[in-house]
Amino acid sequence: MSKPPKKRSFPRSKVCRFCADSSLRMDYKEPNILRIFITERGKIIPRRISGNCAKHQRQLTTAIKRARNIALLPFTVPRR
Amino acid sequence: MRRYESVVILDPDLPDDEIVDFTDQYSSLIKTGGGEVIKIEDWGPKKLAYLVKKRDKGRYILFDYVGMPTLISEIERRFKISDAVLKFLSVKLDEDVDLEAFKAATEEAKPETQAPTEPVSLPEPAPEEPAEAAAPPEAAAEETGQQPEEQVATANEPVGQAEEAIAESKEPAEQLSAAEPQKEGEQS
Repeated sequence: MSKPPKKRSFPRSKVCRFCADSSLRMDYKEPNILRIFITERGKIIPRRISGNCAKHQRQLTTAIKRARNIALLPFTVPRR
Repeated sequence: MRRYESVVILDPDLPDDEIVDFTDQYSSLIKTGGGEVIKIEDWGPKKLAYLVKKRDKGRYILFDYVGMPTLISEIERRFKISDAVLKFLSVKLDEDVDLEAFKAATEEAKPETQAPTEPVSLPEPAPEEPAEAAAPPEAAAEETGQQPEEQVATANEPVGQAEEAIAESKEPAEQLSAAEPQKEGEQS
C-alpha cells in the first residue's frame, strides 16, 4: 500500500465565526459583514474554506442572496 | 398578522420633501390597511453594487410594519407602479404577531419607537458639491463655512466607515480565497 500523494493544506479558520462571536450579526442589511464571506469576484465562499457551521452557512447564503437582490452586494464583479 | 420589512431603493435625485411625502403616503396606507408601522428608516443615498435602471446610486428607505398578507400585496403593487421606486425587497420577519399585544408593547416603549420615524423628515445634509462650492469664496465661508463643513463631515462618515470596513473585510476574504485564483485560472 503506497501512501496517497500529500494533499496541500491551506491555512484556514476551522471555527465558525458566527458561533464563536455571537455579537457578529448576520443580516442582509449589513453588507460589510457579509463581504467577508464572498470572494473579490462576488462568489460566496464555500463552507470548507470559510469554516462556517452548516446552520450559519445556510443563513449566510440567504442573507447574501437577499443583499444581492437589493443591490447592497454585487452578483458578479466584472474583470476590469 | 405578520411582521414585514421592506427595503425600497428610490431615485436618488428626488428632493427631500418628496421622500417625506413618499414615506407618509405608505405609512398611511399601512394604517388604513389595518396594519401598524413599527419604524421607517432612511439610510440616505448609497452607492449601488450594480446599475439599477441605469443608475449607480439609490436612496434606501426601510419600512418595518405589521399587517395582513393582503396589505403587502397592495404595497408591492404600488411599488411596482411608482416611478420613484427603482427596486424593492420585502421580507417576512414574523409569521404570527398579535397586534393588540404588540401595540401594548410599543405603547410602553413609545418614545424609543417613535423616534426613528421622525429623523426621516430631517433633510439629509446638503449634497457635497454645493457645500464645497460655497467654501472657496472666503467671505461667504466666514458665515456659512462652519455649518457646511460639519454637514459634509457627517455626510462623509458613513462612506468612510464603509470603505474602512471594506478594506478590513477584504483581507480575510483574500486569505480565505487563497485557493480560489488557481481554480479560476484553470477554468478560464
